[in-house]
Amino acid sequence: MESPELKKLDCSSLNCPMPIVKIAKAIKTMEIGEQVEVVATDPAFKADVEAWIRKTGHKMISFVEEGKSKTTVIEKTK
Amino acid sequence: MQLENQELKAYIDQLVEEKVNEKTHHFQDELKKLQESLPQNLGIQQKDKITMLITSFELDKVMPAFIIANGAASFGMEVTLFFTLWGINALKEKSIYSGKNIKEKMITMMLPSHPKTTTISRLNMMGIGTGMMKSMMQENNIETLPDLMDLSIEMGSKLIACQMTMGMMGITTDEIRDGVEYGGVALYIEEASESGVTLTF
Repeated sequence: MESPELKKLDCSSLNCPMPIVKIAKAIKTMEIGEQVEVVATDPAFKADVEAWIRKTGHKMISFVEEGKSKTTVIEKTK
Repeated sequence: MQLENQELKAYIDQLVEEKVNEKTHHFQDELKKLQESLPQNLGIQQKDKITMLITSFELDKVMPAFIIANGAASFGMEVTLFFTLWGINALKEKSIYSGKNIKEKMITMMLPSHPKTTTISRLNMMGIGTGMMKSMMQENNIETLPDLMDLSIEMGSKLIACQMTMGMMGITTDEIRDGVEYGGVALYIEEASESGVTLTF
């Protein structure tokens, strides 16, 4: 079930550092508690987004990898 | 000793409580201050800074600098890039010849006038290598250098052009793109001294 606040961010075929840049920009426009679903194909995406989460303190709700496509849901916590 | 009088007991408890608070409030204040400063000391708060020194103009040197700059800005870091010597040429948007002496005109002619026309530092092979590299980047949907530079300014990175180099090579501020600050080593050191990360390209 999807919560009504879930935003979508398509970063498919974008390369490092663009998915992280787009996530950072999207998070800035969001309210605390809102979530964003990000789809990316960058091979380094998993390692990069995990590092970004560790450093910025936002919350990763889920991470699903299907072939080249990776989907993650991030919640803004502050 | 048993205290029969409940009121007296309560009164004594209250007195003891007040006395203990009075004696320990210094420690409590200290503890509070320490707890408040802990996140900063651990670097959890977003006060990190990164500075980079760019002394080259070639694609394979300037691109990683801007990719890292944009990544760092996404982490909430303050980013400063200091361009000196050949690095100044990465900030040019055009070449102007009028008003320059013969040596300045010659160096202007030999150096790129825009990040679009910059070359790679190895295997350029009269431009064939650079062309091939650019087409490979395009096939892989990698951002172009001018786009990465525009993005870094949009993300709030500070770009500083070394005025001493500009004077030496006769490069004028009219040749430099918008969004660039001008300064010297002091401006760079000020930023670098507060940075946890400094890189050279």
